[in-house]
Amino acid sequence: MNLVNAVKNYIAKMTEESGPGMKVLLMDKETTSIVSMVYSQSEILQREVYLFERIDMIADSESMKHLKCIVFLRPTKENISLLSRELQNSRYGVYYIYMSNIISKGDIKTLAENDEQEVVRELEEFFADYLAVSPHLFSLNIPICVQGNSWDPVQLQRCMQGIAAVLLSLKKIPAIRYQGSSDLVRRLAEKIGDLIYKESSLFDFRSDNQSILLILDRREDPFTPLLTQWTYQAMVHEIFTINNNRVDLRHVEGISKELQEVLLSPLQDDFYSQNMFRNYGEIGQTIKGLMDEYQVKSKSHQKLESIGDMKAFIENYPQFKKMSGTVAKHVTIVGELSNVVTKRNLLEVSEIEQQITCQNQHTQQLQKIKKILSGDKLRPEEAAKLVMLYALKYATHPNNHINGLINTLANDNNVPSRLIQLIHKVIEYGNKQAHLSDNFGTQEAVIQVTKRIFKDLQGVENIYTQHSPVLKETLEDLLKGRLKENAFPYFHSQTVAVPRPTDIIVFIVGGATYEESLAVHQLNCTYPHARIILGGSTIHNSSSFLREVDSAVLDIPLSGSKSQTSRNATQHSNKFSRFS
Amino acid sequence: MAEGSDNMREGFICPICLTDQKTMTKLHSHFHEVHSDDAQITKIFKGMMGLSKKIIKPTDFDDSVKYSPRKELIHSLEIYNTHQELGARRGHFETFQEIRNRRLEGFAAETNKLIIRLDKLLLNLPSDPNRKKLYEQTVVPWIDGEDVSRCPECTKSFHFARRQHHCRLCGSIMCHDCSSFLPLSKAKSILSRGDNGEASTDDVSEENNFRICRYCLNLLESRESMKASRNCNPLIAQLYEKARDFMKELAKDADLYQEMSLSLNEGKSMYNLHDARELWDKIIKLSEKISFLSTKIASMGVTENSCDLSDKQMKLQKAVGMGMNGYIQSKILSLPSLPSEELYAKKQEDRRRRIDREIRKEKQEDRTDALLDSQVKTEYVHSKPAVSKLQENVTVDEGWIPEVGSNMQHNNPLIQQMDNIRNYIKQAREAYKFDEVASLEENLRELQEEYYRQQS
Ligand SMILES: [Zn+2]
Ligand SMILES: [Zn+2]
Ligand SMILES: [Zn+2]
Repeated sequence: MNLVNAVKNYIAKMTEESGPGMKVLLMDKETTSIVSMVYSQSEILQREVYLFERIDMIADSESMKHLKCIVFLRPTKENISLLSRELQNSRYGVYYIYMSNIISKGDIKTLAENDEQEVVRELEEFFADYLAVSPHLFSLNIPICVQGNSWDPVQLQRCMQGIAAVLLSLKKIPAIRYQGSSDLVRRLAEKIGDLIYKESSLFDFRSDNQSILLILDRREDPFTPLLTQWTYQAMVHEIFTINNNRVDLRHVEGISKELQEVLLSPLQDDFYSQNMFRNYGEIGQTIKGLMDEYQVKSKSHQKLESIGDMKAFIENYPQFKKMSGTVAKHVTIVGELSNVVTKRNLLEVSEIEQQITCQNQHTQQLQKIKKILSGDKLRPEEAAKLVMLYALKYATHPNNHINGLINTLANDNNVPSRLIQLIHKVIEYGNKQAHLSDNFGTQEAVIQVTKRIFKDLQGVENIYTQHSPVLKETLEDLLKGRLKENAFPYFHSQTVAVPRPTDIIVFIVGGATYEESLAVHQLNCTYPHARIILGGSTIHNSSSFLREVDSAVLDIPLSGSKSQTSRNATQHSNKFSRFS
Repeated sequence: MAEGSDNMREGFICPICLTDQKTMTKLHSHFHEVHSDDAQITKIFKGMMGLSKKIIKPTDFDDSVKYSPRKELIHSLEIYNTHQELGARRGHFETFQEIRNRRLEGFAAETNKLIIRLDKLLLNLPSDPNRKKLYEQTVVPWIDGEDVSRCPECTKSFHFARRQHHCRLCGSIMCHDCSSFLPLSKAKSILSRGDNGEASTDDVSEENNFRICRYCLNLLESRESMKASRNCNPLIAQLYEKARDFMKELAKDADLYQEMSLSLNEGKSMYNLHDARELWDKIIKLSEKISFLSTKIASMGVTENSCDLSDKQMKLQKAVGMGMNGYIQSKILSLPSLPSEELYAKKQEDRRRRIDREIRKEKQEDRTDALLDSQVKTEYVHSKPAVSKLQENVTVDEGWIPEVGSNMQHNNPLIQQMDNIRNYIKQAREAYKFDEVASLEENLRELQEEYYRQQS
């Protein structure tokens, strides 16, 4: 199962089916992202595609009948009507139309009736309807899919289509399991189950009966997206945000023009693909190694001790700059990361974050949080995130000091009311999780204790990377056939159980993270028979996650919350909603 | 885009150091001489330029390494390089065609009718305007306008200043503003009767035009545009096609050359060194021809200080040029060089010696092989029980763990936990919860292993 190749296959097929000749590719906003994630411009030129057009941005009416037009669109109402208009006034010789998902009979009729010039040569469904971020990771680019605890219906539909496309492009008919505690997830599981049933002629491939689609709810693990990250890809996303493999560096001081927006694609940048899972320290070493190698060659004897030295070196040697655009790009990024780490005090922050998530020492942790807050060295964002993690962890702890910390933030750390309100929302968002652990059976509890003991025994390999996402445990349980049916029921009781699946497609409603992507990759490397693919409504970093939380939790929480903190949260959010 | 245009003008830029090497031959030798040992940095670039795309081979998972973390794999995405077949697809073109044809059949019949009428109109058309008008009416009868008070097209009422007019092709009624004019010359060209000349469009006189309605005009125009696109073959398309033929030939030659030079560099004598040289020269000539065409396409219609191209045309031409240059580079830069005459002779000699050596060695080995074979087998048989004995030890030893642990019970959390779990196993068993028993037992086993490791 390789998502990147699955999408590439479809696109290669499109360019083949139209035969030789010059081609133009007509896309919409989303399919443009889908294609550009897996194909570089030079690669697609080799497939005779020389022009790219957005169907919603057609400016001219210049006709080029000697070009073949490959149309690749999502089957939305808007696209159908734009395409109808294009066929009416056809600018290209022939049209090969590919829809990225199931197209309705009505839409086929509309298109056929608008093809008066008989320019259409093909109309087909090609299920490349997701962003293949890497071979084992996909995103649907939905920043916010839940509003006030319920599905945005448009996004529910989009999630269903995206997952269906993943299944179809990989030719899988999995058994469906979902997080039993979540209504949102159950509805999505039902929609997909119904679709597979309804479109049985489409989902018609020999099934090995060894695959599982597991649908999870982000609310079950609100910790992971809040943590400071230290592996290269996750760190760049947390600090700069990676959007469709692109990173915006315009805000970096003195940045050269060609580096204002850089491409970080594991497919096109070997350095990146070999280092995206390495940690910050290792990357620095690798880059230094590369520079040293070049120095030997250029017989320069400048000392390169710091990232700053390296940047200076690159600037002084235009030859090197030209020669290794890739290295220059990564030196710039790592240099800026190191600035941010210092400026935001991230090492100290991360240490406390990891302790909160991985250890049970309430008093010591509280002391550490108080101390770092009083030090006045933190940005409001980091300060608020620390309190969020603390609050999530200790919401049900009898001696918790959540309100005290919130007061400190508001009064002494000048944290804006928007962030204070978000702390309450995060508690509410994760409330279900705390709630659920009350119901954990004794047996589960025992196993939890065992796991913790193991962690302690193994020692702390790296104090900044102790945390391992809940997803990893869930998947290991699933692989070993230990995932409880009451917590993760099958959709449809008559489904034949798949006790030890080999092919697993996990989807997280509310967004996946790069930390989880790495965890899945590690599982794929560890268990030779496991083939796991991770997907999310989006790929979150902490700020995009908090935006989703802001929308997912109603400003005024539902009454009847039982804990002290949530009642206070209600008061607080009432108080602050006036200002938002 | 500015950078792109630089690359375009000359097709022989080194993709690594961006220096202009003037000819393909120079670029090829520069690439191999200067950059062959740039190890790491070159690798990054090669990856970027798509020059060293590894052949994707399905990775076979070896069962024997089950559950051992393959640490070296974690820093690459290579484990995903397995074959991925094309996903599901569903065609709708048949349905599409059925619907389209049903609808277009109507149009086609109507268009045909118009063509036949146009043919009749032109056949004996009088030049005198009044007689022309009468003649037109005999070919296509006009609709009686007595009860029509408004123009069906724009719904404005007819009166002294807005008179009724008739379409000469279908006879329908319209006002002057809603009329279109089909020049006689255009009508002739529609019927393919020569006279392709574009009549001046301002001339809307009745004698040089047929007055027709918009509906009829649309039918004729879409017929024309279909005809035009079928015959559309501008210069860029012609040049492109020529270049494509060269590229196909180049690909074939490059493959053969690759095979020949590999064989020659190994000192084999399957191919002739001279032939390979000839082929190389041909490849270089082809690449220069393609490069010439790519430059021509990229610069078509552009002169020193003027450019009468639209943005889109410009983009297309540049992209085509860029694509062709990329193609040549990807094909040629990865090709190995040929050995010189002397070097080839030496390689042939080396190879002969090596083969001789190998044959002698093999003969020797044959004699010892039988002996070795039996040894290996017995060793294998012996080693097996040794392994299982070790595992047995662990299970046998299980009994003494609690006893030894009892003096340090409070110090070692492992032992405490193991005791807890044993209790839970007992309870679960009594409750017939065997799946829980199984997972608890696995838990216990893990703890025991850990404990064993600590003690040793
Ligand atoms: Zn060079
Ligand atoms: Zn008419
Ligand atoms: Zn009118």
